[in-house]
Amino acid sequence: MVDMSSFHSVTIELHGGALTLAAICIGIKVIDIFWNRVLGDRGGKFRQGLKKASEYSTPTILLASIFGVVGLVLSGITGSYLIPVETAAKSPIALNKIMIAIFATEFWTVMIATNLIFWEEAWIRRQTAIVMVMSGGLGYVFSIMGGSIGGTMGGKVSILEPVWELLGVDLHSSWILSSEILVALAAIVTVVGILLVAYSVKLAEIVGSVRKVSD
Amino acid sequence: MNREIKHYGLVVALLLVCLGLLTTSLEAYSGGWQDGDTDYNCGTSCHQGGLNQGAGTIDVVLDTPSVLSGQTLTITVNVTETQLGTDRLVGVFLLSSKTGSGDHPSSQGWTITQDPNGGTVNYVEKESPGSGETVSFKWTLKAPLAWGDYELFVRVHHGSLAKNPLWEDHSGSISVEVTPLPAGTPEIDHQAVSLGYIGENTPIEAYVVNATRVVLNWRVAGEIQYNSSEMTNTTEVSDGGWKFEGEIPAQSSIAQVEYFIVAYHELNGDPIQADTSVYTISIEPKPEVPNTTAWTIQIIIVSEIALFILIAGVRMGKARGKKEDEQNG
Repeated sequence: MVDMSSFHSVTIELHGGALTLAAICIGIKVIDIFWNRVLGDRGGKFRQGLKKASEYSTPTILLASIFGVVGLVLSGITGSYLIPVETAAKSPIALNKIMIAIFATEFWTVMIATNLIFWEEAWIRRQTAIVMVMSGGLGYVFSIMGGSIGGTMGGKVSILEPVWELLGVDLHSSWILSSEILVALAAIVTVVGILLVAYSVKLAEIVGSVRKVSD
Repeated sequence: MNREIKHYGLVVALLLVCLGLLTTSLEAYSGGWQDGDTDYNCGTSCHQGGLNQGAGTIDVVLDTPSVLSGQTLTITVNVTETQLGTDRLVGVFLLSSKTGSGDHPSSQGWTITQDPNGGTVNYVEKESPGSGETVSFKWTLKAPLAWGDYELFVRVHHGSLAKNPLWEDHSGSISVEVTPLPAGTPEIDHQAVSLGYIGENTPIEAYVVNATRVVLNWRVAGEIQYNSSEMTNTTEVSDGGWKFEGEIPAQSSIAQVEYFIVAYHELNGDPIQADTSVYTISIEPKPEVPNTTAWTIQIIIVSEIALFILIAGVRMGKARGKKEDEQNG
């Protein structure tokens, strides 16, 4: 019988590597966009190199994030063989891990969907560029958190351990908010979300000019 | 075109180098990094074990040099170190040979009924108490059915940050004589209990053949006297055996409770008895049961946030695109 932990390791490496690559490329795009806005074409060879890297980053972000999300979903499936649902439902750390992995998948999916709808324009329009950076950034933060929790569950030492210690975060205790807070939060998110969508066209005018944020 | 391909190749190569650098910290840990059923070679060659370094001594104590076939004995391993490494872990293997592979005690017919950390595995890690201090590991084993002379070994594995074990020491062979079970002797088949919860009685079960009376003895670790209570035979099982059930009373705080079972029988007017080894139960606070409904709602709320971001982002992007088209005529 094949050990499912081997498959789980492979899928972890797949999404860990792919999403890191996507995050690095998002970082390059952000630097390029800001450089362009502040310094324009100044910067000589470095600027030219940055421009080129930014150009290559555009398709890389899309491909790497798609591979990453596929890896995330596959690692969820392989992980469910390692820890059965009934066991996970009783374990605070397992529920934290599943929840964080779902958050990561959702935000990366938002970034991929935006990218697929607007293609290269996604990085040219300021509004969509903000959505891409925000969702990709959140997705990556959740991916790292998920990796750290997974490592701890596997009995390994997580590189983020000093960070958790500094923040006073206990990975083994439940991260579920109380019912009262959740009800209030759900109401606030729903109202703010509907308002955001309803006024998004108006907001688009406030956020950005027609001028392209990147060349 | 060629120039473009060259550029793409260069970027891909650079990215591969970056990814390679990111993976330098990946190591194979399975089997060696935590408690598990592990051959000595597998636990020390390609896998890491407890990270300690330096010399030390191993002292092994058997509770009995001879055991009845199918009955239990206890091996206590005391490890004392003179130097400590970064992770302050001591990893100890209980083995049936020094061959390095196929050396799990089960290969000789032994069954580990309780390991030092409450599991049933042959490789266990514990935190080191410090230089010159002794850390104890206690295994309880069920003897093979085939009688004869057996040997067991203990090996201690201390690695280093350089992944090269600096100290791998082993005990001398531990000889155990497994003798045949005299006719009429009670046979106890018991699955050790290693965990109990504060405020709850801990149920104990045993399947016993040839017994007229079965007694559960228990005490909080450190106490001198054992408390005793008779176990009740509840269900008849095959081979004329019975399932006996008993309970260790609830504890009010974190504790280590030790217990053993004794089965009594009379043969031709002579009383005979059999007992298990002493097992240890860790009494701990009952773990909190997560509220999965609230957990699901929490996920739905964050999904809602992601969805609103997507819809608003798309509407904003499309609105700007439309305006741009209008301005461009």
